[in-house]
Amino acid sequence: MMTNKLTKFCQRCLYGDDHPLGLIIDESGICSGCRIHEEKDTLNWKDRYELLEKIIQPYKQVNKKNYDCIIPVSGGMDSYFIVDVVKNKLKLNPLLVTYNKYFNTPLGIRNLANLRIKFDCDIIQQNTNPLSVKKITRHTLQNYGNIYWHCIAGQTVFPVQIACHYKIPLIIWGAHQGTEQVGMFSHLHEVEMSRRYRKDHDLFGVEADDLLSNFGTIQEKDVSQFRYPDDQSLAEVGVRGIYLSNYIRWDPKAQHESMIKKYDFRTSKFSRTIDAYDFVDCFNYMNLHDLLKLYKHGYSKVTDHVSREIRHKRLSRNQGHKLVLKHEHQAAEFSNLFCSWLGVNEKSLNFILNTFKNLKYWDHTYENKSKFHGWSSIRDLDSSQKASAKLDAQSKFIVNGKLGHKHGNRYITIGKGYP
Amino acid sequence: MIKKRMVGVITVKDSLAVQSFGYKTYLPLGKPAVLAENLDRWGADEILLNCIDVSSQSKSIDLNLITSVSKAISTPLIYSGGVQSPEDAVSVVKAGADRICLDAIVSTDIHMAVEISKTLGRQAIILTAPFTRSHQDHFWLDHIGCKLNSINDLIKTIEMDIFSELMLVDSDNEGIRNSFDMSIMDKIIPLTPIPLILFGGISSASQIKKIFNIKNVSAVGIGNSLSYKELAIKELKSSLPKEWFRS
Repeated sequence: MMTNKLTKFCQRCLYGDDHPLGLIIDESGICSGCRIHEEKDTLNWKDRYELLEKIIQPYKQVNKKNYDCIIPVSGGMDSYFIVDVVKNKLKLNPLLVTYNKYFNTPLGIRNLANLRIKFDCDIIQQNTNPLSVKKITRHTLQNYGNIYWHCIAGQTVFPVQIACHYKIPLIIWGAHQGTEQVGMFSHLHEVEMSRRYRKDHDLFGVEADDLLSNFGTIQEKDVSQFRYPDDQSLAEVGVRGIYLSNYIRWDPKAQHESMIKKYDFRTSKFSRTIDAYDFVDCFNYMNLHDLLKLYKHGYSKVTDHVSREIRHKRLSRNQGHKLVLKHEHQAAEFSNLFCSWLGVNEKSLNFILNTFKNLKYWDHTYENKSKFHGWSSIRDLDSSQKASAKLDAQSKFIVNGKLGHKHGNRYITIGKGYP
Repeated sequence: MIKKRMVGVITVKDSLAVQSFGYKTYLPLGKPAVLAENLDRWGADEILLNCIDVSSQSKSIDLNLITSVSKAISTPLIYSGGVQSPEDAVSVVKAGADRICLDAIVSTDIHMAVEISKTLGRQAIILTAPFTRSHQDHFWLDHIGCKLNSINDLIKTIEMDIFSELMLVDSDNEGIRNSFDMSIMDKIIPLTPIPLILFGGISSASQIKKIFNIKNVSAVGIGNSLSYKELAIKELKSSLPKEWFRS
C-alpha cells in the first residue's frame, strides 16, 4: 500500500490537497475553495449583476436576425436557472444547445422537453454516431478508467462549434467548476471559457486527437465531432464564454429549489449522494462514473456536494463527514444498462474497474473487497462536536421524481442512437 | 530595431501551476505542461517556468517537469528555481530549457554564479531581481536571506558582465493587474547596460505599450492574467504595433 499520510485537509470543508483540480491550503488550514467562497458574502452582487448587463449589451441583436447567445443545457444541472436569468432577466434571445450523452434518463429527457416548452426556446441537439461513441467509451474506460470522456468532451465542445458555425459569439455558462470547487479564480478575475481549462481539467489532459489509435480502432471520423475549433475560427467570430457565477451569487441548491417552484423542474434521489438535483439526466454520472472517481481519487461526488453545503453553512463539517461515510460506498446502480449498451458483461466490467483502484487509496486492485484508505478514512475531525447523518429542513433536498419510469429503466436513445 | 517579446510566465509550486499574489497567497491553476502548450499555441515569444519553492524549501530541481514542459512546446523555454551550480545548470538545459534565471545564488554565492555563467555562456543567463518599495525607496529583495539590498548593489552585480538580461520583478504588485511600479525605472534605466525584462503586475495592452516604448526593455512577463481569457496573448499582441514583434 502506498502511503497517503501527506494528504492535508482543509479545516473548514472536506477537501484534501490532492484534489485532482489542484487545491492550496493556506497557513490557517483553510483551502483555496473556501477562501474564494468567502467572496460570496463580501462582494456587492448588485454591482456585479450590473457589470454583467454591461458585458452582454453589445451582443443584443438589434435587427433580431440571429440569436443573441448560446446556452449549453441538459436535463439536469443548472440549465433552468441559466435560461431563466438569460431569457427572462437579461432579455436575451438564446439558442439552446445540448449534447446527446446516450446515458439519458427518462427524467432528464422530460426535464429537457419541459425546459424547451416553458422557456419557449429553440434547441439544437448533437447526436454523435453511436458506434464512434461506443468505441471511444471502450477506449477511455480501458486506458483511463473513464466512461464519461465523450459526455464531457461533447458538452464542452458542441456549444463552441455551434458558436463558430452560426456566428453567435457569446456563450453563457452557469458556474465555473474550478472556481466553485477549489477556488481556481477569484470572482473578480471574471474568468472565461478556455480550451486550456477544458483540456487540463474537463478532459484530464486527453484531447480528441490523443484518442487516435495506431491500430485503427479509433479513427479520424470517430473523433472529429469532439475537436475544439482552432484559434483562428474562434478569433474570426470573437467567441467568448462567460460564467454567470462571476456575476450572480451562486447557490445551486437555492437556485434549483426556485426552479422546482417556478418551472416544475423534477428531481430524484441518489444512493451515492445527498444532492437530488444536479445529475438527474444521467444513469451513470452518480453511479459508475462516481464509483470510478472513488477508485481513482479516493473520494466521490458526495464529498463535493457536502463541501459545497458546508461552505453555504447548511451543514457542519462533522455532519458532512458522517454523510460522506453514509453514501460513498453505496453500490453503483444501473451498471447492467451500461454493460448492455457497451456490449460487455458485468464481471469483465468489474475487473476493469478494479484495475483503476489507486494504490494511494486502496490496499490492492485485484478484487472487490480491497481496503479503502481514501479521504474519509484519514480525515481529521473535531471529536468534541457531535453530528448526525440526518438532514434537517434547511439542508434537505426536495425529491419530486424518479430517474426511470414505471415500465423499467433503459437509456433513452435519440436520433441515431435508437434503439 | 530589436524585437520585443512577450514572456508567458508559469509559476509552479509543489509541481502545480498556480496563480501567485505577491508570492504570499496562491490559487491552483493546473498542469504546467498544459499551460505551456497553450501559451505556445497562442504565440508567446518565450515561456518562463518559474518554480518558486525549489530555492526557498531546498528541494531538488524537478527535471521531469522541465522535460514535460519542453516536450509540449516549440517556444524557447526559460527555467527559474534552485539552480545552485554549473552541474544544475547543465542538467536543466539537458532537460529542455534554453536559458536559466539566477536569483538566490547571486546573493549567497556570487562566485558560483560566475562559474554557472562561464559554463553555459552569459547569453543563457538572466539575473532575476525582485524589488520592493520601503520608506519611499526601492530595494533589491533577497528573499532567501530576508534582506533588503540597495539598487546600487544590483547595478554592481550587473556590471560583472555575467548576465545577458535583467528581469526586474515587482514583488509587491506581482499578481495584481496593471500595477507594475514604473517609478523604479528612473533609477535602473540610466545605469543598466543590459536589456530588461519586466514582470509583476503587467497585464493590459496600454500598460505594455508604455513599457515597450522604453528602449532598454526587451520583454515583459505576464502570468496570472493569461489564464483569464481565451487567446489572451494574441489579443494583447493585436493591440500593439506589429513591427515590435517577430512575425
